Amino acid sequence: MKNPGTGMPIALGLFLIFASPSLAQDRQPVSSSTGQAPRGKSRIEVGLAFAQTIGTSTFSSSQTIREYAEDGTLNGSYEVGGAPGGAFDLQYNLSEKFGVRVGAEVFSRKSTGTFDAKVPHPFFFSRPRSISGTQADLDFQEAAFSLTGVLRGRSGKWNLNLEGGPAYFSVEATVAEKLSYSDVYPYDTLAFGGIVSTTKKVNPFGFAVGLEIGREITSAVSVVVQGRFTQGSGDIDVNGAKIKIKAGGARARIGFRIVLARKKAGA
Amino acid sequence: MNRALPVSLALAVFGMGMMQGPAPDAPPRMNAVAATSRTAVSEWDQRIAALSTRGDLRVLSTREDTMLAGRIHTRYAQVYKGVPVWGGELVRQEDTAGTLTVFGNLYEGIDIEPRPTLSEAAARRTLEAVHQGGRLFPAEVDLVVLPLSAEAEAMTFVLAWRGQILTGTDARVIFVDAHSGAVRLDYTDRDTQTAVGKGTGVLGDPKKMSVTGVGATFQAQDALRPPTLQTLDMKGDPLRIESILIPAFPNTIRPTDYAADADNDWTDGGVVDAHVYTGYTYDYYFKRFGRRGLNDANTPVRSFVNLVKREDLARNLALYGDDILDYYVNAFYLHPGVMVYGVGLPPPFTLGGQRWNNFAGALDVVGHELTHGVTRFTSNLIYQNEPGALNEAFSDIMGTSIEFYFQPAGSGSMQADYLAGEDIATAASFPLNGIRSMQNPTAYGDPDHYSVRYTGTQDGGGVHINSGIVNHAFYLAIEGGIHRLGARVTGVGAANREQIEKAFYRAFTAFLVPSSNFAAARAATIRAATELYPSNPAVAAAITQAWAAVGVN
Repeated sequence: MKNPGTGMPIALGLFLIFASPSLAQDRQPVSSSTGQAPRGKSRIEVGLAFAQTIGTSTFSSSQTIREYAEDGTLNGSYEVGGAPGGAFDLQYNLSEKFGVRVGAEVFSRKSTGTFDAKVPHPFFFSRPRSISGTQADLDFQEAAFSLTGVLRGRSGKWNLNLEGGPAYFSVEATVAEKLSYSDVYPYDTLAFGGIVSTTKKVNPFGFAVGLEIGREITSAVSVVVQGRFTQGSGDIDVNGAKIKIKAGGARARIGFRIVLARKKAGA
Repeated sequence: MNRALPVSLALAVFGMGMMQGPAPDAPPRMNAVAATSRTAVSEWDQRIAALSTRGDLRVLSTREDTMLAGRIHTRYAQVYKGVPVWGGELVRQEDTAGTLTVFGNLYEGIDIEPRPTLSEAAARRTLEAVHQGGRLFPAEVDLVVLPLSAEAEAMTFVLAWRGQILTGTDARVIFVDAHSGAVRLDYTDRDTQTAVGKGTGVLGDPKKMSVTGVGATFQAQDALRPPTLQTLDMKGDPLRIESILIPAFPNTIRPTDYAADADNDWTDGGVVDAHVYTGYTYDYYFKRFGRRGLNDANTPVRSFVNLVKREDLARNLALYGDDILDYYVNAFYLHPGVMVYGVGLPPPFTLGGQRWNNFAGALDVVGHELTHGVTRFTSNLIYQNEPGALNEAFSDIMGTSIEFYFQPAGSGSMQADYLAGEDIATAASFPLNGIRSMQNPTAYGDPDHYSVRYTGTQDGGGVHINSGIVNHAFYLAIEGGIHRLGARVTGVGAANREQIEKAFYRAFTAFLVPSSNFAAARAATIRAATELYPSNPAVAAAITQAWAAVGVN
């Protein structure tokens, strides 16, 4: 699947993931003698965060509808609104400067569709009736899974992480399959009655990049704030029409990062 | 709990009188009311008055009878403690002497809590969840008492929220129990048999057919327009129509009489055009004048086609004589609401020097004939002499107006012009298409001026001849120009033809009487124009000049 514009971030992510072990070894071993994490601390960190999408995303559709022995059109323009969600990640620190992170985030978003259609007339060919309307509260469930390389920085109790890498999305979007309308004789005009919706799933690949600032509150727990951007897109099929669904966008996160305790020898 | 309504209804039903004190609770049931005798309607008058006073009946509508003058129909809704009872209604017919009939159904033995415990908002959510993607339309939901059994003796009642849900392909009426939240009734309110098919007309043009799906086939019964519009295919049997029309029409129509098509792609041009153009004619009258069909009350129209087969012409002539030609080269209206279309002549036969195609293939012909029905229901102009010529002229005028409403102006096939029947009567040895001209009546041998009117006895005193004078006045009022004898008329212009159409329609349907003559038509059309366009004297002026130009003063 082609994702225009994702090449650089993915390349950055892959660079961070695969280049980091050697960089780590070359520049800043976690332990000068063993390469292990500092005593009492594991290489593994867990992140839990409340997330909030920032801004909106849009996608559109164009379908052919068959009514009264004739084809009409149904065009939709969807704006997916912001929503709170949750994020979880598991990070393995290859060194003090580099790590690899597997993350997941989930959002239950809502979209508002604006529709305009040309519905065939029941009595006449080539005399379509125009109708437009808006339908709110269409479900847009979005989950993103990312594998990112992490560049780690530290100053006192402050941590700074920069991450990037490929992402995989799972999107369930509710879109218009047909139009609901009412008309009465002589059927020259229509009243918009909403849409008949269908929920479609799409799993596009994309990328994720992020910047995280953390403040240690204990030796194992940090409060983190993260800005993140993900993006992916894929097609769904509605009555033979392809609709390109955009997933991701900008997110803000706030949460905790916990460094798991290392098991003591002999314990 | 207040049991007043069940008790009162039970008393009313059993003729015990409503003010006779308590009585045992009536069992839940539906009481079908059909009071037609003097005694029965008198009792129901009293009961309706009492029920109305108690608030158990509410007037829904009062309408004047459009078919029998002087009669009033009042419709009452049954109400239980302020909540309408679904399906509980009475209809009372009255004239100046009093009540004539009372029909309807009232429900008895209702004993439910009339205040909902399920909120309207919760009901809305439930309604919208019944069918995936369904939306309330209209947005309102209402509270009703829902009778829950078709069997009168095993009936229960529930308080329910009712709403209509559109699913895109259906309109569902759903009742949600206003206490438990359960869906109690869910039915379609859309005629699921409605179907629109494709058809090819007499002249090979594509059209849409509004028909009805019946089992695995489709019948030419328009399910989308308000009146019954049916097309019946006699399949070449000239005797069949008589057996349908004479005994007990329309009950004599068999299912196999309806024109039918298996795949809803109709190829019999006569069926297609008779059916479609009847619909167009209804549409024109509704959109232009707000008229609902021939009688303005959606009277049925049944079109008969294929009464004979073209290839049977010689055999039919031998069997039935020249009368059979009516089924070949004529179209006619039989009151009330029956249309008959001739099939035309097989090549190379001609009549009057013209070739004749299926008569249903000309929109102006269909509009012309159906307008005879409008005339019958309104002015009822006597089909003789000047009233008869006015009758014919009004049909020509409306037929042509319908053509201009639906077809582009021009001189070709299926184009709007001032010729009558040009799409089905085409030149052979006679050099012109069509049978009459409103622009130039003399080209077809018809008079264009009152001074040269036909005064003989043929053709009912010249009903198809002298119509040319009126037709030409209509033409001049729209298009203007100089009459053959020199009078100049400033017409309203083709873009404003609606003004002249409305003036003539109003005059012919509202002002003329069976014996009206040309002078009366002149006065009536001028008056109609003045009433319709009081601030635009040009309309009345155009009509005045046009009548003067054709010598009617």
